[in-house]
Formats: sequence, structure tokens, C-alpha cells
Amino acid sequence: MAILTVEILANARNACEKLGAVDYDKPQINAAFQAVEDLLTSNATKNQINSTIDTATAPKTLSAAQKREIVKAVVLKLADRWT
Amino acid sequence: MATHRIPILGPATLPDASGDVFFEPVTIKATNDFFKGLVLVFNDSGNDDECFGRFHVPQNYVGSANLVVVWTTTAITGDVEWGFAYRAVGGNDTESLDQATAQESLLSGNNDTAPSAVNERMEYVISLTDGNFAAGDDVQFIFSREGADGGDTLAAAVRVYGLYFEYSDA
Repeated sequence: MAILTVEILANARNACEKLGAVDYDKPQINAAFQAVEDLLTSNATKNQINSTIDTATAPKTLSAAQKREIVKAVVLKLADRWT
Repeated sequence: MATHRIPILGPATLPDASGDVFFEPVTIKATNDFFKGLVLVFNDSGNDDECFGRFHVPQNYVGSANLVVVWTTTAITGDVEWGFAYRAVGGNDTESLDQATAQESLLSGNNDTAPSAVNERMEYVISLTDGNFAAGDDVQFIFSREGADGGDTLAAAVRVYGLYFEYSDA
């Protein structure tokens, strides 16, 4: 588990602020960011994403680096679609 | 005895070098774009961010000195923590205008809670020590958002519309 720095948290909070009215306070949103970071970087989540991609691309198997790029692209480009 | 307020942001106002304090058009964070002009923005940086300035104590000053902060934000929860440090310099050829310390530092406990609705006018008053000021003094100050303090829980930038020196005359 990587502890998010004050600077990273500030950037994340400012990004959140741009999306609309802020109806949470700083300790709450910091804890939420840390929790999501921990979830997304946990071995269990990584393994699940890994096997999901393997299933989708079978019988071909993508490299770990390719999978990382795909996950980053999903977060960066598709997150706005999530509800 | 009447109460007066004089604006103390002006040409001598200087944000610190953090990049998290700056003057910005109202229209960037407001939504209606009708009334425009500049506001002093303090980002939610997680650090203590400062703005420097000075003002003149009016000739009819007697006491009841306060600092009044008029501000707002897009956040509707959490507290912002303000800080104010200053030194009043008076006389003619007696005191240095290049001081190294503040006369009074009010850097903690000045918390104001977020507005109940986005962009509502907020007014926060910080009590100053009357005896530190005399008519005709020039006051140099540091006004800050104490973002590193645990009391600053507001997770958004705040916009200062006005900063006033409040006092009463005879």
C-alpha cells in the first residue's frame, strides 16, 4: 500500500473540485482517495484484471506492460462514462 | 462612535511564490459570468499559503480593531482556517519599515465553516489587539490560508472578495 502524499492528495482534490460542488471535507476525501488507491493497486484487484484481460483476448495473451497501458487508458479515457 | 471598514487589498498586495495564491477573474469559478472582476484565490494546496500587503491606519482610529474577511467557495462542507500576522509602524524617523517579525500572529483557531450553498457570501471577523494600532501607523501584514493545519478541512479553493480593517472612531 503506497501512502498518497499531501501533494498528490491536493492535486486529486483540486481535480474533484473542478467536477462540481464540493460536499465532502478534506479528511473524508483524502481517506476515500487512499482507499480507492489501495483497492486498485491490491494484488487481488491486479490478479482479477489480469485474468479478465486474459479471458477476453484468449487464446492470445498480452504482456504485463500491454495490460498496464490498457488499464491506464481505461481510467484516463473511459472514467467519464462511469456512473 | 461609529464603526468603519477600509479595504486593505490593493496595489501593495503580493501573493507568495507557491502558485497557490493569485488574483483570478471571478468568471473562472463562478457560473453566471455577469459581475466580473478579480478575486483573491487560495487553492486547496494542503500547505500554508500567504498573501502580503499593507495599509494605513486612519486618522480617526480609536479602537475596536478587527480584520474582516469576505469570502466564498464552491464547497458546502468543511472549514477554512485563516491566519493574520502584522506589524504596525509609526512615527517620523523612529521605527524601521523593514521589520523581521510580526507584532501579533493570529495563525490558528480562525476557522469559518463553508457556506450552506455554493458561492454564498461569507464574513469572518478576526479580533486584533487595539493597542497595537495608532492613528497614522502603517501596517504591514501577512494574510494566509492555514491549509496545513488540521482545522482547514475545506476541500476546495476559496475566493476572497474583500479584506477589511474594521475600527471605531471617537
